[in-house]
Amino acid sequence: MLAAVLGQGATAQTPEATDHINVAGLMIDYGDGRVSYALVAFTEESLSGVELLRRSGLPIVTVPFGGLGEGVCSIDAVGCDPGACRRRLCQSADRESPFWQYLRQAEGGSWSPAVLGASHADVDDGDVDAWSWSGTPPDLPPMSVTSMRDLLGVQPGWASGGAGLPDPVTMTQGEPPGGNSDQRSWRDLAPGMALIAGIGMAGWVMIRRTRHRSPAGGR
Amino acid sequence: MSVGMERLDSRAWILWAIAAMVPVLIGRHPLVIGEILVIVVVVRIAWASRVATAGVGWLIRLGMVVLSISVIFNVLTVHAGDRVLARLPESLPVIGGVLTLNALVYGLVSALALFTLLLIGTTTGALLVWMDLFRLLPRRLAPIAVAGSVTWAFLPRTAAAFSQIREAQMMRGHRVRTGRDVLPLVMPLLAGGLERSLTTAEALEARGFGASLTPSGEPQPSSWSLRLGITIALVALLGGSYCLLVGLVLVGITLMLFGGGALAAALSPPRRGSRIPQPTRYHDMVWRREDMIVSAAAVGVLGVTFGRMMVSPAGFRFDPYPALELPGTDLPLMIALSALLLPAMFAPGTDSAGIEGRR
Repeated sequence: MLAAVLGQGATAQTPEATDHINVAGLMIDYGDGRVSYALVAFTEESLSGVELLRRSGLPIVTVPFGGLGEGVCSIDAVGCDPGACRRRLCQSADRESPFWQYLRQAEGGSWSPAVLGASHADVDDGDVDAWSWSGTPPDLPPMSVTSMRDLLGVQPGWASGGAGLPDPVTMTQGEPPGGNSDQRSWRDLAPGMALIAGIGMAGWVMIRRTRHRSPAGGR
Repeated sequence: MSVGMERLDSRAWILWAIAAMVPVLIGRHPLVIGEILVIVVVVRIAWASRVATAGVGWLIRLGMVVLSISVIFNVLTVHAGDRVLARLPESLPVIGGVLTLNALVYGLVSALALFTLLLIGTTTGALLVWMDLFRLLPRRLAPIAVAGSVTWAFLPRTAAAFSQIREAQMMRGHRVRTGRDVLPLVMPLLAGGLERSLTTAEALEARGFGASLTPSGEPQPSSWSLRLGITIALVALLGGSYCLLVGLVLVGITLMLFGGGALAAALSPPRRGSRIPQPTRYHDMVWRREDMIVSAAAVGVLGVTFGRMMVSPAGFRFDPYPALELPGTDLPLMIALSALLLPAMFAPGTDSAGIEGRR
């Protein structure tokens, strides 16, 4: 769980920029059959893990934990609300309930949790980080920036080809079970709101009857 | 069925309060919270003649304070969401970052939930007959029950006293303009609070509360074993709770059962024939049909709540992060919750002039 508590957030990155453009990869396992891949270009010498995640452009929710940094609550709407995140980083009483695990890749392609958290991790050029929504040690395949570039169909000179810093390249494979959830409208809330209005009306009638009832209980 | 009774049984009120609190505690669904709030307001107004408070002004002010704190804290500390309202410099610790409408909405819903819980607690506290509850508890727990009842009644009584003092001072021409002007309000409140405490303590003493279970002069061979038993039971219950929280279910349940058993044994009634003072009982508790209906409705609501939580927990959830979207509606759950309105049907009558009904 500590692996998801991040350090100093954006302040962990090296402030001085260089002319060289670095590239790091990101693999996100949502635990529902979907996996997102992202290639992020940056000019700093290194980034923190949470900054890399933030720069990928995926919608994320984090909460600050003071000196420990930020905790990742949700990525692309998978996760928990900040209240549950503040309490136990999305975990319930079940020790195998999922939370966002931050993993770093060792030599040979094996993944291991970053015990100091993603903000204390320095992501350098050519690194690939992983996030997994799981309560057990995830089984992720080895991944390099080169293989991710092939997967995303990105040319080798993609990062240094343009004038400025290129936008991140992301791709999501797989479909969540049940497909996409449809958007709700106010019309869907109408029955519930009508019920509350009905309860209010019924209550008003009851109160009026109480007021007009004699203290002896008769009518 | 007779409609309009003097009071409902305290056990029925406790069941009703638990059934009303659980859905609010489980999630932050605005419609569920709104429904419970409307129901509690209706029940409170219907039983207004029995809710002895100094109006609802202090409650509304307290609700506004809760609302302000919840919204400000959430907006300043949660920098997530797709509806950005403003941006604070990132260099500011904790509060630096984007301020979003998502965080504001979640803060509002949380404040609504807190206010609803507060309303349920104060309403139930005012309608309970604490003496009835004392009789339901083991006699060894009487001091704890007394302390609990005095604590529970503290806030409304202090609010009522403050209102009376302020009115009395206003009649004397006192106006609050600076901080110093608050002193004539605070000092009588403090003195009155002490006086009330002494009166309550004397009344309790006169009724035998706090007296030793063993008559003076008799040896107390079981006092140390009783204390040891209670200590072991509480440690076991605490350890069991911790184990359940961290997922050690089997160990947790075992410890909880052991602790519960030890506590029951320690607090079991004393032997027959012992010379422990018996509290005087002036009336017996009567379980009426209306109490049965309200209790059955509350138990039914609890059953539906836990059932829906296991089958379809989305009916309780509202998550405005990262995108602010409308929540879904669990209509069967909301229809079941409407059964909590039943106590309003059995409220006591008042005459057309608003004079209080039967006492």
